[in-house]
Amino acid sequence: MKKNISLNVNGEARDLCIPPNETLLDTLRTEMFLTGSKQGCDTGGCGCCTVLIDGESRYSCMTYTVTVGERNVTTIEGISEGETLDKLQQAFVDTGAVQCGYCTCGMIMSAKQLLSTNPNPSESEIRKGLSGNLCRCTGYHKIVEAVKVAAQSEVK
Amino acid sequence: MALTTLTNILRPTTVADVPRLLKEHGDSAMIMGGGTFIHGLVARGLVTGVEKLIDLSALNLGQLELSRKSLYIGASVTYAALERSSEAYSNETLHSLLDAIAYPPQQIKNAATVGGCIAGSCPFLDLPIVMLALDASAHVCGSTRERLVPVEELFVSLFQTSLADDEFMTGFTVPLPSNSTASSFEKLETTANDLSIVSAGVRLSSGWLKAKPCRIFIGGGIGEVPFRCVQAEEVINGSKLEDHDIDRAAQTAADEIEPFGDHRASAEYRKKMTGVLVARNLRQARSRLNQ
Repeated sequence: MKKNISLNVNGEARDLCIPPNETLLDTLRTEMFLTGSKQGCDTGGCGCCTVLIDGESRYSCMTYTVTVGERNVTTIEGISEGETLDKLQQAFVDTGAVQCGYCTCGMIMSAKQLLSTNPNPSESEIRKGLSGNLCRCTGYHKIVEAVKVAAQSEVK
Repeated sequence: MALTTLTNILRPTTVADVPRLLKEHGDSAMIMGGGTFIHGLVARGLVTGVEKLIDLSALNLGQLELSRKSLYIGASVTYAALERSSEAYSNETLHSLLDAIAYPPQQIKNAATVGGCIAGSCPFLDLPIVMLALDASAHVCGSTRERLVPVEELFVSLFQTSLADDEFMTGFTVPLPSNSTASSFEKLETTANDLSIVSAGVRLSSGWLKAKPCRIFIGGGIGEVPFRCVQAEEVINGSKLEDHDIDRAAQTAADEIEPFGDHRASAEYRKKMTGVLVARNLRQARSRLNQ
C-alpha cells in the first residue's frame, strides 16, 4: 500500500507516493535522482549512503522514508552553494582524498556532523567520527587529512 | 535492503495502543525502535512474515530521570541522547553504559535506541550485558497490566524474550547502590561496526575494604543468552580486590564459560579472551571505585 508523504530534502519539500518499505536511500536515488548518496553494503555498515537528518548523520539504507516525517534531510547535493563547494568538499579535492569517489559523499556527510559538534577534532576524534564509513581504496590517510584541513579552514 | 513483506508502518500515539496493536496483528507485527537491529536482521534474511512495523517514535519514551537511588532510561532514548546527557555521567555506577555506547559509529548512535537493543535479546549486542551487570529492571506494559521485570529474567533464547505476546518495554530502571560502586564494559570486535567477538560487563561495590556482591556478565559468541560468571563473582565477593583476586576471578570466568567458534573467532580464542576482558574490566572498575 503506497503512502502519500511530503519529504524535506535540501531545503525543498517534495510530495511523493511511495511504499512503506522503501528506504530513504532508494527514495533519494530513484524518486528524486539525487545519486550522490551511494548504495554500498545496503545493510548499514559501509557508510556510503550517509545523509543528515536534522543535522544528525544516518545510514539512509536503514531508514524507512515514511518514518522521516517533517525532519530535514541533507544530502551531499545540498551542502554546496551553487558552484562554491563546501569547505569539506574543497578540502577533499585539495588533499586528493576523493580517490575512487564511491565512499566520498558518505565520508563528507559524516565529517559534516563531526565538525558541527566538534569544530577542531584531534586525529583520533576524526578517525572515531568516521568509524561508520569504509573506504574500499583503504585511502584513509588522505581522508583524515582532508577533515583536518577543513577543520582548520573552519577555525580561521 | 527492503523488507518485502511490509505493508504498513504503524505509529501509535499512546502507550496503551501498542499492546492492542500487538494483539491485533500477532506474529505479523514487530516493534521498531531506531530500526537498526531490524535492518540487520532483514539483511540476513531473519525476518519472515512481518507485515507491520510498530514505530514507537511518536510515544513519549525518550525521558532520562535521575534520582538519588536510580536512573530511569526511556526505551526510545538513543545512544546519542544518552551520550549527550548529564545523567549518564552523574555516578561511577553508570560508567559501563558510557563504555558501551562509545563503540558504535555515529550513524548508529543517532538512530539506535536503548529499548531496541535490549528487546532484540541478542548476546552479541552490548547494552544487554551492561544492563545485566547493573542489575537493571525493564518496565513492561501489556494490555491488562504493567510490571517491572529484572533484565536477568528477560532473555530466554536468541531473539526471544520472556515477555508475553502483547507486552513491550517502555523503559529501564538502573539502581544506584548506596555503597561505593563502579562498573566497566569492554569488548573485542573485528571492525567498528561489527558484532562483538566477546564482551564483558562488571559491577563492583566495596564497603569496609571488602568487595560486596559483584556482577560479571559475558556477551558475544558465547551462547544464546548472555552468560553470568557466578563462580568468578564468588572469587571477588568478600575479597579485598587485590591483583591476585582479580587474576583468579578472570581465570575462573574463562574456565566456567563454554563459547562457540564461528567466522569471527574460534571457541578457544573466545575462552582465553573472556579471561583477559574480565581482568581488564575488574581493574578498570576498581580504579573507578578509588576515584
